[in-house]
Amino acid sequence: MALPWMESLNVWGSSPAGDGAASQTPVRMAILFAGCGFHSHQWWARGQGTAMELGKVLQPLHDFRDRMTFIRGLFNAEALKGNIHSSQTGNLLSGAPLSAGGTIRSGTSVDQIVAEKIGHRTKLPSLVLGCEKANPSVHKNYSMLYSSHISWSSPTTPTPLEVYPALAFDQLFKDSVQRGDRSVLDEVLEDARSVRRHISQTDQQRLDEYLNSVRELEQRLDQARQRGELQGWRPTQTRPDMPRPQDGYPQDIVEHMRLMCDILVLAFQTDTTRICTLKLNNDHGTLRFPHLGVDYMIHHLLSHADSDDWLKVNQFFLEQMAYIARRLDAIQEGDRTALDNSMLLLCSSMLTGHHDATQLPVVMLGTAGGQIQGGRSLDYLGQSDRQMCRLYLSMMNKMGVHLDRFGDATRPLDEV
Amino acid sequence: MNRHCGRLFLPLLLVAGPIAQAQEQRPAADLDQVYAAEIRPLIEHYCGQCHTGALAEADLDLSVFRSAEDVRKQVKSWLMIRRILLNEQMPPEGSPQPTDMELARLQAWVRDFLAREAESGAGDPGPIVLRRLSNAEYTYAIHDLTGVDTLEPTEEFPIDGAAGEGFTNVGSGQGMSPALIQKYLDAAKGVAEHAVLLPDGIRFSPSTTRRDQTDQCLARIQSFYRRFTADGGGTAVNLQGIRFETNQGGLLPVGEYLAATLAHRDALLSGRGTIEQVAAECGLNARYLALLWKALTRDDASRSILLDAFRERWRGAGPDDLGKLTAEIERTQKALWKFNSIGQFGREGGPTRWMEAVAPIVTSQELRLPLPDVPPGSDVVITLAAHDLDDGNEHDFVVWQRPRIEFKSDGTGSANPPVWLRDVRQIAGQVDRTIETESSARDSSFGLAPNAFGTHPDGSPIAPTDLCVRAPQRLEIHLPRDLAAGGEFVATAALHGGSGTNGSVQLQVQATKLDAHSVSGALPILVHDAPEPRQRVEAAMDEYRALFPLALCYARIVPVDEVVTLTLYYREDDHLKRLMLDDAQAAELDRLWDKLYWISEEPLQLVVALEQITEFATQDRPDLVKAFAPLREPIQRRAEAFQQRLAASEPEHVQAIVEFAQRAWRRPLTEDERQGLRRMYQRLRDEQIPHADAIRLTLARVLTSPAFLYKLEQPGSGSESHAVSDRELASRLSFFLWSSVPDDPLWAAAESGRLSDDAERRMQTHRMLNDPRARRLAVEFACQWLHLRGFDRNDDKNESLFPEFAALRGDMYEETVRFFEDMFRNDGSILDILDADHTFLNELLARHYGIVRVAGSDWRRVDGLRAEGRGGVLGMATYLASQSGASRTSPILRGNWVYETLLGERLPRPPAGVPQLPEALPRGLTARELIERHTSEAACAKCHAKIDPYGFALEQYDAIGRLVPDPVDTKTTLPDGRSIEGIDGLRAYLSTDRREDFVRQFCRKLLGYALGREVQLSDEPLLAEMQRQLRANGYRFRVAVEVVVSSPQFRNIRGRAFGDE
Repeated sequence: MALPWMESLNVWGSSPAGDGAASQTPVRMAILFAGCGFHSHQWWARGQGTAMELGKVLQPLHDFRDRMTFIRGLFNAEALKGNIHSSQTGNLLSGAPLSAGGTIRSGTSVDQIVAEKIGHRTKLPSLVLGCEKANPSVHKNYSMLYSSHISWSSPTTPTPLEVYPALAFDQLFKDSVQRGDRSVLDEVLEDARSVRRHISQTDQQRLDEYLNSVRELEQRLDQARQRGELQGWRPTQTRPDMPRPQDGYPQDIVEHMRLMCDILVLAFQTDTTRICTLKLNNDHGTLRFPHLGVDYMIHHLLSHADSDDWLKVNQFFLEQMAYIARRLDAIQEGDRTALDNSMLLLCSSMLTGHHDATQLPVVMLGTAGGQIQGGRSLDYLGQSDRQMCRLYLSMMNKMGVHLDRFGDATRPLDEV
Repeated sequence: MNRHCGRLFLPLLLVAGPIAQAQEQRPAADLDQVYAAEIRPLIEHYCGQCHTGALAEADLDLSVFRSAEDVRKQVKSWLMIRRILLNEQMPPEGSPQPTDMELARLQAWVRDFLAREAESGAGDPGPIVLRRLSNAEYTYAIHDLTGVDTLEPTEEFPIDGAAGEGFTNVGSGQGMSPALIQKYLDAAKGVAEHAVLLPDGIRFSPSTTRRDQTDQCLARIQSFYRRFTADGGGTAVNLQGIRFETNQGGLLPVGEYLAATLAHRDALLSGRGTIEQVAAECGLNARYLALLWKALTRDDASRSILLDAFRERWRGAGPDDLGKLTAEIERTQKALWKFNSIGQFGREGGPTRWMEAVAPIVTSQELRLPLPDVPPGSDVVITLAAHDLDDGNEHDFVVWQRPRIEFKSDGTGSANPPVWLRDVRQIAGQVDRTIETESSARDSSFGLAPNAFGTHPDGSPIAPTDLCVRAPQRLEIHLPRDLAAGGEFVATAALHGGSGTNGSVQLQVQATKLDAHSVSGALPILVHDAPEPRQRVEAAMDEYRALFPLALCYARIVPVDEVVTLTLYYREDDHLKRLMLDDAQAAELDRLWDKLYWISEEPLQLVVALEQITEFATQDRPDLVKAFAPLREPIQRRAEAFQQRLAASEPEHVQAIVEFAQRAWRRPLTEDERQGLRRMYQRLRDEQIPHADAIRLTLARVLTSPAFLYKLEQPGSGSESHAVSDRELASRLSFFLWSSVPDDPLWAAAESGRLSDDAERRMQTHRMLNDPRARRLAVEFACQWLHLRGFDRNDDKNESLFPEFAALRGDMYEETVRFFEDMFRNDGSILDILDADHTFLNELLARHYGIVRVAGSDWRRVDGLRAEGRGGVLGMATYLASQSGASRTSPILRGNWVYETLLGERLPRPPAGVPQLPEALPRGLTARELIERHTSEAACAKCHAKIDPYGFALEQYDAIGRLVPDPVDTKTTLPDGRSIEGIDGLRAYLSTDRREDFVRQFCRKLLGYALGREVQLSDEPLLAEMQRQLRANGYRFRVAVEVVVSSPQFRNIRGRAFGDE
């Protein structure tokens, strides 16, 4: 149900103490990921504002140039060590070193850091979506867990991605707490506590992930019960305006991506969460694109050459970003749109399909509620402090999360 | 519980022994000194330039290794250094190179030092990150705990990550999150939905609704019935427009039994065969066959009219007469039985049985026969037959009363008067004369002689137009065509009041010639109207019915013969029980029925059904309400009794959960935990949650517990390693070999403490590998190691180029899984992975492979495959296709797979900015030519020369593993200079020259899988022992498994304080 804007103003009393941002229109942050980079000659943007020229890959974003920040030259130093798919994705959002061999260690990703700090303001701290199932193997001495996860809740725990649209939808809107669920959770929490005493210290750390997860789920159930009583900013919409997607894994990639984009938009529109990552495919992934007539080769192998088909596939990914932007831009929130109030970032693990991570493709739409000036093309190539993590520090600032350092960066990008 | 760590290290000494001897051991101090004196300077000199400081190449700073002690602390780096030195990968070209002597010294030192380190740490259980059940393990465990292997609870879980040696059963790859907890909770509740609460505990069903579960109970009873009965025999019914068949099934397969008695008559009579043997041979029920045999061979003439007659015919029958004999029985059965509609049993005055006996006995019988038209010039011939039933004909005097020809009214109201049979002969003469037919010559043959009428054969008078005969008697009577035209023969028959009082006959009037007299059950039996003769015939019918019931049971169970029914499930199987079932079978059947009533809650449903039928009937037949009234109270009482029984079963269910938890948690529950489960259930009940829901939630709670989800083990105190408990060992074994929880025998072995015993553990290991569950090891270990797991969902192929692939991929995967399952269950040689001459195929896949000698969809072992270009993993479509592109082969992928996956070599990662590969295949270029062109770049050539040649050897196979019909260049030169050609060359090379490399890789993967962690330096002596044992024992798979499960790594756990000091 859409509410007229005036009614959506802060009508439920004052914001909780110490939470000054609660009653203002919130800033949202979405990070889209596309694996294997882009066409090496068609990823560029030149000029400023509406005079900005775009490479062919970026053409789908043409309408949003005024709110676009194109950034060239950022990189993630740790990714260069492995220099292969599996080692370039798992730390993309954290800049952390990755453990090779059979062990798993990365760093907590920027979205989860923000979720940890401000996630309590919404029903879900964050939403972690994907359009391709993870790959359960070890590749070139790195677990493919790295290729399959950009979001990490802790250095040892990749956040499981939801790849089923229906279940993602349920995460947002399934509020009816089943009778007895709470009892089950209470009991198993008690199990974990009593077991904990008898196991080794390293096992305890692992079990604590279980404990914390149960506790967090309990909190969510409790919040769900209080839904509607939360104070603060009131979203323009409270109920889904799309039907619950069908159960099961969509066989058609176009439909799959479209549903996930819709769910992302709906999550922001209903203020169910303000933080979302959407992994459009796996790095080293196996999607094919019959609808583009590109059926003869999987995404990963396609990425090895700058063909016309590769360009088509690149544009298809950018169209997803454009679709989200267009939908967010249609949501009026006061004198801005939801797109204005967002940061919609698209990045990849490498610039081109031949594992070149010496610079990363980065483009952002939205102005974080007027905090970022759009219509710019920034170039950091050749500068010394061109860490990708500087961008994350900037973005965290816009979200109201201020850190002294993150990953390998100690200061935000001045221009963003 | 045995926690004597000292003893457990004994096998280790055996393991370590040969290795220790093989190496020339230098004292530790010596090697340490050599490092400082000789090695470190060499390393500084040749490697220091690039590998120093924070910006060291490959993140490897060699300057930190100031002493051998430093080396010891970061031994992992030195495993890599060892490999690089042995492969002479470093220093890179263009940098100063060590002399041969120097290189040899470096290699020897690193080798010796690491070997000594391995020895000193040998047997270390290693760091094992707490493992939770992988998705596969969760699923298998649920299958084993519930006995329902159709459940797929993890279908929508996030995909597991792989870690360690590349398997999903490694703790570090297994994250946890609130979303995942939610999924575990939902999955557990989903599983609990399948719980069926029975009077004596809990079982699980493939379905979740009462309706489906009821249907399963029905199906089980029906399949029980079907073991004894024949299908068919249905009769069409049309109930208010709904057409269906009723009464079908449950028939006595009398023909099969008769056939057996005929075929084996001589053997049985002579005593050469027994009833049991014949029954077993023919797949018949011995009990009934014995009964039938006895009835057929009884020679104390029973004077049982129906059976005696049949027995006679059976004695004279040959195998060709089977059809006739069977048909006769079936005819008689139909006359002696009838079916009632079941739907409203219990109604006042309604029927009480479905199949009811019918006694076709008459004391007076009217016989009618419309006379047929015949061609002019011929006569109408009718036969009046009286059969004596083969029981003697002393009293069988029957009177055909007033036999005559009647004529129908012609529509004007007037009909011709009847013609007495007595008068036919006389009238025939007149008719003939009038019409001047040429048949006057035989006019005396029409009708019967008039003096046959009006007189008993004994000469006494009877009514003038009656005809009295003594059975058996057949009268063939000619009637003139014109006289008979449009007429109907009519007679009434009865036994003669004096001489026939004790007779019994069957009568027939037909317009055709009749066979010799024969008793037919299809005809009523005529007796005198007095008790004694009737009883005698009835007894004969009873006896016949008892032996040949038409149906043995009501196989439909759910009656459909009324629109609204009061009988939900109808049981009538007393004939089956009586004739065929032994006590155990009868009890089983009773149990099945009880389960059906229980699960369907039939007694409660019946209350509802009665309500409905009463209301329904009231609409147009208020009188029927009264008819059902007497049922109300018994139904109510039965429902109350059932409610009490339900309530009485509740504690059983709670107890069943406690037992379930013990199996799910793989350990006995503490008293606290038992009480905890009971308390939770009670709390839910107190919250007004119904019993069944409370039970299901408590079950869900068991399956969401960390005790189920995690492989929790208790370490000993201190830093020493200790043996895990027998129960924990049982779990390690079952998760290793079955990816699931222990079964009862394994559990029992653990409980009794026998599992630490070598012989017992070995026995259990073999037992488990014999079990069908070893298939899971094929999927989880072999397929995962070879990157083939889940190939049945491979979606990588270009559908327009390979439209057949989607239909084949499941069979392709099945071949690989079966190949390994067979190897594991039958203890095959692991070398078969490389050079087997056999595989498993069905016709579809065989055709794909170009093999024509396999017909049908059944899977079977096929041998002699090497001659047809298959055999071993290299010839399997799973490998050939998964390591190809979407549209064409990829020698690089295939070659790299051989190099890394089969041989365990490690390629350096590609350099940054690899030159681009022209993916669009240029015209006229093969994949090989394309790649050779690409890899001629110097930067690439070094690595590609190591992998591509393996792939080139397999270029005869296309991207979905078919043989390319035209010859392809598969000659290639391997990195070590050997020239080979095609799959045969590659197979020969791998299984001879590289055999030990392959075996070592196999051992490494198997150990990593068994332990759920990466293999480390201190495992090297164990790996060497695995290899040695395999070599000495024909490379039998189980040899490797035995070494693993006997190793301290597998049996021990690091102490709680490990690494603290």
